[in-house]
Parts: sequence; C-alpha cells; structure tokens
Amino acid sequence: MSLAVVDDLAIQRAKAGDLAALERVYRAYEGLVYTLARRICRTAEDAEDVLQETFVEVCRSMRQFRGEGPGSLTAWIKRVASSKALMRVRYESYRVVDELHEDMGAVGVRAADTALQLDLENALGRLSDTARAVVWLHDVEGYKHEEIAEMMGKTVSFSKSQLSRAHARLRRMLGEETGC
Amino acid sequence: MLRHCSIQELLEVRNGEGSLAARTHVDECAQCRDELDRVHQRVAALRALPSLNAPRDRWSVVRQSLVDQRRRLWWVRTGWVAAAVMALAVGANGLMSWPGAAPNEAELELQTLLEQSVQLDNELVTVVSRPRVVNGLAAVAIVDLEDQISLIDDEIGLIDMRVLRVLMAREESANRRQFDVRLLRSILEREADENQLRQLLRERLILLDVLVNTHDKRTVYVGH
Repeated sequence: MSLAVVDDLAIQRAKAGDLAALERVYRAYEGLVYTLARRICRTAEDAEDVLQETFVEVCRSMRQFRGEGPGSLTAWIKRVASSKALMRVRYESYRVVDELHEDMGAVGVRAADTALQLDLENALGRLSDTARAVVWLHDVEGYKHEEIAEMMGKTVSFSKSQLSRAHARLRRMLGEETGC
Repeated sequence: MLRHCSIQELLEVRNGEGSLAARTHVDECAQCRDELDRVHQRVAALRALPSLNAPRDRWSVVRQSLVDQRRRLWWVRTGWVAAAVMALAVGANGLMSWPGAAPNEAELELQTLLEQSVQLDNELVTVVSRPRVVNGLAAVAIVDLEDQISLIDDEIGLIDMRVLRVLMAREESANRRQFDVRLLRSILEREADENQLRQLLRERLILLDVLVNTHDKRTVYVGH
C-alpha cells in the first residue's frame, strides 16, 4: 500500500478542498480501506460500498481534520472505515454464500503459503460477523477492546468474549485442536 | 492454577493483562505455552494476509458526490453572502462615517469593492440561470473557483459578524448619548479588519469575474 505518497503538502491541499489532492488521498488509501472493509464485511459488494461511504465522508470532513502528518491521517481514515464497516455489519442481513474467490485481484506476494492463506481466509469468512470484525480490528488493526466496544456500541467484555470465540473457532477450523 | 488456561486467559496473557496465576501457569505448562505460541502464529498469519484491491474504481462516484454537495452548498451560500455583503456595505459605510469625518481613500475603495461585488453576484445569478451545457474542463474550473470563493466568503462572514457587533455597540452608545472609550478602541482595532476585508474583496472580485466569464464564455447555451 502506497501510504507514503500523501505528504504534508498534499494533506494541506486536500484540507483546502483541492480535488486532485483528495484523489491522491483516495488512491493512497483505497487499498487499506478496501482490505479492512472486505475483511470485516461478508461480501465484496458491501466492502465496495464501505469504501465509497468512507471516502465520501473523508472528503467532506477533510477540512475538519485536525491531525498532523500522514500517520494521524491513516489512523483517522481507518477509524472512519472501521465505523462504516461495523455499521454495515450491524444493519445488513447477509446472504449466506461462499464468495471466497471473488477477490482474486489481491495484491501482494502469494507464495508457498497460499494454501494456508486460503484456509485462513476461508475460516475468517465463516466466523460470525461480529467475531470476524472484532478479531480483525483487535489483532490486525491494533484497536483496543475499549475502542472496539465504543465503535460497536457494546461493552468491553462483549468485545473480549467475541475475540475469544473467534480464536476458539479459528483454532477448530484450522485443525489446531489440542488438549488445552 | 490446577487447570489449563482458557483461550480468553491466554489472550489476556498475550496482551499483558493476564492474572498472576495465569501467567505463572503459562510459564510452567508446556501445553499452554504451545497454545499461546499458536495464538501468536495465528495473529501473525492474519496480519500476513494480502492486501486486496477493490474490483471497481469508486473515485468517480466519490468525486461526483463531492461536486454535487459543493454545488448545493454554493447556491445556499450565494444567497446568504449576497445579503451579508449588502449588510456589510451598509454597515461599513455607517461605521466609517463617524460624525464629522470625511471618507478617506481606503474607505471609498472599500465602498466601491462592496458595490462591485454585489453587482458581480447579481450578474452570476443571471448568467447561470440561462439554460446551457457545461463541458468537463469548464465544470472542473467552475468547481475550483466556487471553492476558492467559498473560502473567502467564510472569512468575510467572520468580519461581517464583528462589524455588526461594533455597529450595535455604537448604536447603544449613541442612545445613551455618552462617549464610550471601549467602543472607540474597538473601532480603532477594526482597521486591521478593514485592510483584510479590502484584500479579501479584491481577491473575491477577481475570482468572481473569472467565474462569471467561465459561465458565460466556456459553456454552450441551448434552447435559444
């Protein structure tokens, strides 16, 4: 993901409403936002909608963005995307279909561990919507249980129990069962 | 701890939040240590999943939504700013013509700028109300100009509020028929505002003139 493309000057121009600069922000962060949305949402269509809703909000609210530097912009955009994805998870009723192979436009190197990745993606896709969202936000995006609870409108213990359930299910689905 | 750790306990240990008993147990129990290792490996595998590309480019939709919103805001704002500039014209005139003082060159320029601004705003409304087709490049230029003028209007709006406050204070002072030192000071402090206002209005006039010309010359009129 080419996050380094958006420098401070581009951020300032985007804050001033410059459409070219806003497009640079979009191009730099679309992969990050889509990946986050796709890992949380069940379908690619939902993830695309989250991508669109996130950037409509980011572009409209850019003037109010008070952070400084690309780091805080990344954190802000991820926060907006997470909220949008969680809203989608909360309000959408999902079709129960296996759409694992729709994202073959994946970027990055898929080497010898492709099978493991597919198993993991498969297992992730079979978690409940909330468990999948919590495990992704906590273990990959690095949010704390308190932050996840706030975004989901739930308690901290709810977030913790969802994470435990997610790991227990992933362990079973990935055939890692032990006596522990 | 006599039993093995639960997943939740292992996750807490991983996060450095586990109880002393759980941490001690993990240190002493090879099976739970292995399980904790598997948690670490699972999380590492999740983090190593590849990034994904959206199947379709959504920028054009996002951009159009932004342009539509700006256009809506612009039309709401145009009416408001025309009224504000008009009020400012009256207000600044009244403010500067302190009894006994003849208007100086700067005050006359401000007055002229305000009148020209109102005139161009009216011209703009007339031009854009004609049926016409705007090409892509002109549309981009128009959005850009509107955006720049909006930023100036925000600043004019702030000055406008300060002028109104001074005028109200002045009227109150006149009603009391007594000299108000605070009022005099606030009027003197307004010199910086007036300079800024003149500068903003000059910039606004240039942009507005280009905008009117863009609407007028770079669009194709239809239906006539």
